[in-house]
Amino acid sequence: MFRAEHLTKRYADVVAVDGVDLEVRPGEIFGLLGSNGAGKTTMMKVFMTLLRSDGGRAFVDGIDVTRDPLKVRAALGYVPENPSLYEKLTGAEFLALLATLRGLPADRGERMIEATARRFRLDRELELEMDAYSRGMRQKMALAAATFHEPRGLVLDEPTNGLDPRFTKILKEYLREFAASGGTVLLSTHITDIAEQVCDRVAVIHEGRLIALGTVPEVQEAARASNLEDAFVALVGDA
Amino acid sequence: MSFYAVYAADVVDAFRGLSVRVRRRRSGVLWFALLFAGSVWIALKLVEISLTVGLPANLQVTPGALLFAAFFGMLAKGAVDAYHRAIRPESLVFLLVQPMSRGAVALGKFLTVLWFNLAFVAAAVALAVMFVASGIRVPLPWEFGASLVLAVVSGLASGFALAVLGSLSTWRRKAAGLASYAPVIGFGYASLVAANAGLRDSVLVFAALTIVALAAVVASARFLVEAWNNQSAGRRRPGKPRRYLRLADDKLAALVDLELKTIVRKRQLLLTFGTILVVGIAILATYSIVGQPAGLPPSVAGIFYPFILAASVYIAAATQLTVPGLAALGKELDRLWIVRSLPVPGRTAYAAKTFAIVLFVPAVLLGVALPLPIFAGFPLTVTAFIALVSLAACLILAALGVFVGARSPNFDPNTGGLPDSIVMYNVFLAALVLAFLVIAAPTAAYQFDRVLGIMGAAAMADLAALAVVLSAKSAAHRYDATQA
Repeated sequence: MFRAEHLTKRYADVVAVDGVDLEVRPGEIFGLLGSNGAGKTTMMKVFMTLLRSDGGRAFVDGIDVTRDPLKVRAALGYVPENPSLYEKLTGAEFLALLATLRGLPADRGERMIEATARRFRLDRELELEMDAYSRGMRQKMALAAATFHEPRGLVLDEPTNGLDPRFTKILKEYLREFAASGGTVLLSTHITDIAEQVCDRVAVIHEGRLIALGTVPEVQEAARASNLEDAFVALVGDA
Repeated sequence: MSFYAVYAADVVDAFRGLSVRVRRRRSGVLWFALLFAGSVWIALKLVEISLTVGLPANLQVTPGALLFAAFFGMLAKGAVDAYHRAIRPESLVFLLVQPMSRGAVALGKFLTVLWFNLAFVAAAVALAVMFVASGIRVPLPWEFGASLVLAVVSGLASGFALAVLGSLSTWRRKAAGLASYAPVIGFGYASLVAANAGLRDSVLVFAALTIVALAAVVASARFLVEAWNNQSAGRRRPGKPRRYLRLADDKLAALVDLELKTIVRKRQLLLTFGTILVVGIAILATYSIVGQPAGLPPSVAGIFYPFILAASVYIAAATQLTVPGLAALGKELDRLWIVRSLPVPGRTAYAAKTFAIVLFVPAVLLGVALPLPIFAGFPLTVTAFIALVSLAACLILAALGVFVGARSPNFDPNTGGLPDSIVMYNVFLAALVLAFLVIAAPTAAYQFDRVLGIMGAAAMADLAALAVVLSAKSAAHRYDATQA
């Protein structure tokens, strides 16, 4: 579903992503682990067509992201690291706007929004202008916006930021269901517990390069650590 | 001295941002320097001509009125700058939680606003002194210079205080806050304009205004937290979402609706209609007070009201059509990801932004261009001609804003997406030249033949509409290429 071939992205003199090769299979939950500034967000933005790479290629569902960005975006749902929203729209207006922009027929869009609102326990968020949202409410709304249209893939940058434990549990359950039904998830996280609990495979990125890739036990074994947190520290510390 | 730390950090931050933008567009700085010097020269030359020829009694502008206008202009600028720098930013929280007084925060922020604007005035005064020294015969007494500097300081400080008071949590508190400051402005008007103050008296009046206004800045700090918190006080809007308008293209309609809802709910609509109303009333007031401009040479008297109308249309269109276009991309800031991660082409996204701006063209025509011809009973052909050239000017100025706004977006959260002063100044002067061209060419034809003039104005409006479409297309390319 997601494929990077020698992907490179620079910001002036800084190489944010340095020749990364990666493949995320359909139906997989794939975790990107890395320190701050490791290049996770940059890589995700290239897949989302928000940034252009300086070298290499990126594919979503076999489509080169530079060739047909609209088709790529139609297939995906995205949650950025700090989701800023249209502050003067209510949650319901925001989701209705997205349904229209995704070309969903009005009645189908409404049904999908209602289902998403039930799943993510959106209640007063729907009636409230979004500049009154707390951090957690913003994150919930961004997750609802990324998932309501039943995309084939999800790109989630730190999706548990600001969420309470109850909603984190709901999200983890949703991601498992989504993958079980054939959806693919590319998520980044600092929280190794989340990666251990939901990810089928993980990649550790450090200074723009991929330094470990595999299932959680494989990465732990490669780092000779008993848990993912120790493995991460050992890998990043050694790199 | 904690206020100085706030001020210094703001200035360093803004200076670095400006340096990056200047390095990116060096030619813009050169243009700015030339245009700025040119406009100071033209202003002095106009004053010199007026003093030499002598204006009729009903067109005389006293120094007090001129200085009050400067004070009022700076009050508006100070309010806008204070809103974007001191009231709106979420980052203000890092200052509000420090162990220092809120007065220091307000004073530090005010000094930043003052620094930028005073730098402009200082440059203008320096150029004026240079031109006067090189032969332009305009008296520049020290009292005028001192009054002007004090007008700038007191105007900006008043604007700062009013921005805080106008951002309080309820309409009642807003009204009470703004009303509490009204006597200060009333005092300025009464002493400078109504009492026809001389230059020496103006210095004293502005000194008093400056003291009061600076005290108001410090006093307004008491309400800064309330004003800041009120920026994130969203309303509940129960019920099914409803659109303001329907169009054939559903995606376009949804995006225009988003723009309109934001304009209405952020109360920018009030500001837009307020500005148009004030300009419209000012034209009618001028007509009521001056009437037929007797005393002017016939060639000048004939173009007096066309000139007033053209200038008014320019002011309304530049502020209400060009400026929103300039901010169209920059204001998106961190929200660019929303539409850019959807299957929506840039041309639809920018067509919606442009559409939402052009929707206000009829308001400028009805509020500014047409009241005088109707009120004064201009012949129908003249009224039709004025409507068409005004339409052309409005469209070309909207096109300019959209074009430049996408070429030089400013993603600085402190400015609400507006380009920095250098770009803004260049754009306003470019807008002036464009407005002159689209108005002057059909006007020349009209003087030769009325039908030809009206046809020429219609053709110019058509060309201006084409410019809007092309600007939106060019802006869409920039939008698609913007790395979010």
